[in-house]
Amino acid sequence: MRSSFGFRAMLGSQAAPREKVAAALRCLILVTVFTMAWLQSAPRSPGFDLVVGFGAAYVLITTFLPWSRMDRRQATLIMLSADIGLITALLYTQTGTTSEYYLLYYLPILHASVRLNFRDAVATCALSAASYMLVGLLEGTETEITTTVIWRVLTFALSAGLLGAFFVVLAREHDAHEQLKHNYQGAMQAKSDFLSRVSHEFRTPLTAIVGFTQLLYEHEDKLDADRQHDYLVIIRDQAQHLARMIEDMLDLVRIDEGRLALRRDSISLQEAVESGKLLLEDPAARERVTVAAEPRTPAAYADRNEIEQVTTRLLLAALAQSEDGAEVSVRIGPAADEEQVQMMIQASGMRADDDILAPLFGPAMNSTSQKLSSGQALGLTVSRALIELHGGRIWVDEGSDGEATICFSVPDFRAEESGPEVIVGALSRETAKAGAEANDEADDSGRRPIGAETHA
Amino acid sequence: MTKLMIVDDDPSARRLMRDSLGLSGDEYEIFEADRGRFALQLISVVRPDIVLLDISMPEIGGIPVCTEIKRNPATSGTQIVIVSAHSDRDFIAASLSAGADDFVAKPFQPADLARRVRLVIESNALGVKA
Repeated sequence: MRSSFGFRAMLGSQAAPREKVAAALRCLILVTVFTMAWLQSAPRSPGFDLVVGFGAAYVLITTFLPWSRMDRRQATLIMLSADIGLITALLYTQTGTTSEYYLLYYLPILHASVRLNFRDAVATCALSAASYMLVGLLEGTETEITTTVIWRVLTFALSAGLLGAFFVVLAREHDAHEQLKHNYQGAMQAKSDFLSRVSHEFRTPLTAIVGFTQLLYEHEDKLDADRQHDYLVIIRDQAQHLARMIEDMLDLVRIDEGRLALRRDSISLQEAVESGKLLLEDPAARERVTVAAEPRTPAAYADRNEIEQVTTRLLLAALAQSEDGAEVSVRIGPAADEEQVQMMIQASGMRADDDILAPLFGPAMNSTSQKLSSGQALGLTVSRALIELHGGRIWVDEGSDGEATICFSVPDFRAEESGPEVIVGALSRETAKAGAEANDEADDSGRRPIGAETHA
Repeated sequence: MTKLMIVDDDPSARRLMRDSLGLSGDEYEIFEADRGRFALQLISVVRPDIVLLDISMPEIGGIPVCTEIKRNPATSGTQIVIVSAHSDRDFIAASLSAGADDFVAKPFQPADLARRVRLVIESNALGVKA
């Protein structure tokens, strides 16, 4: 990094325009100060040669020191220390503490606050005040210190102190602002990543819809009736899949914005699974699902409609990930260590290390793995968000053979003393009214059917 | 006849590619694989001339599969066309760095896929990279 002052910086072709302006200004100030000092002390005072010598050394240092090897802060701090040294020498060799040149100390202070950070500006304030007081002390050894001098030095020290305190406040504000900016950028990045992954998810069913429609359009004469029917079935299934993904995304947005209201009441998880099973459109897929509940399983305290949707999404993931035709077994029972009811979905061939289950780990909005391929990511992400909104937990158990069991638990009804209740997404009860209205709208549309996956 | 292998975990995408090529009038002997690891095993046996490869697949993604095919001297002559819904520049660059000969973004027009595959095969026959 080049120095902000010095002829190299000023003339260097690679120096940024801002650096060139800063270097030119500092040269101008230096020349002005020297001229003023020379005019004021004409005929030249004995110390003026010392000041000129110091100034020349200053210019040489700024020109020939290897600034490019230093970082910007380090280089600027050296420059500022040299500034303060020059001003102190000027004061000492001119009329000392009675001189008005002490006002020049404000320049490096302002420079530090603009170019570096407010903490460095505080340090520059302290160094300036100390240097000015040193001039006073050195002067005091030669002549008697007058009350005016004491007042002047103290006034400057006080103003530098106040300026320093002001910069401390600014530094805190700046840090808070930086933190906010960092958080905002993080959130924007997460949202952007999420949208990018969602757009990829949307392209999977779109590929089939666009492609098979085009084949039907271009080759109608070559395709027999069976093949045309096959294509139409694929297009229908993929269009339903796409519609469901859009619903999932809207649900996720509703949860995130606190607009999704849960209507919790006492429900039977077994009944919810049976209803969720019926939402699978493929009868063959429904046949593969078996449900068993342990005796004396307590009722869950949950929103039945949402639990049905979660169950269906999890069943779809299990059906898609298991071996062809394998049984998907659902077991329901009380959770071992807490007042919750849990559901476990197991299927032969479903692997715990499969990326498809990634949305069940990690933060809800952020968990759609780059490697996901089946269009299940959104559904699993919503499932996770919904279960967490219920105060429950969703996870994947890995068996000794690496096979996965998808599990979730929700509070049991006995654990909750309250009766039916409406709670709202994003954990904000203040927006309960708006959420309930949003839920009413959702209820109007009825249950959303979920089609069976046709692809792995 | 040109041997062509389709590697994609989505059955509807595999069928779309197979039928797009079949209906285009070009003749291929087509093989299919739904997972990267299985594809690598099948490629070493079948020795296809060209592979249509998806990026996002369970177990091993398409990019490592592409790298492995091009790294192995026995299969390095196989032409690879990446067919993926990941169509941003990073993925295209990664695909080409891994040795892919072409990149087709999903969703695609069936006729366009057939034309691109034909072009890659013809370019290979002429000894130039598509």
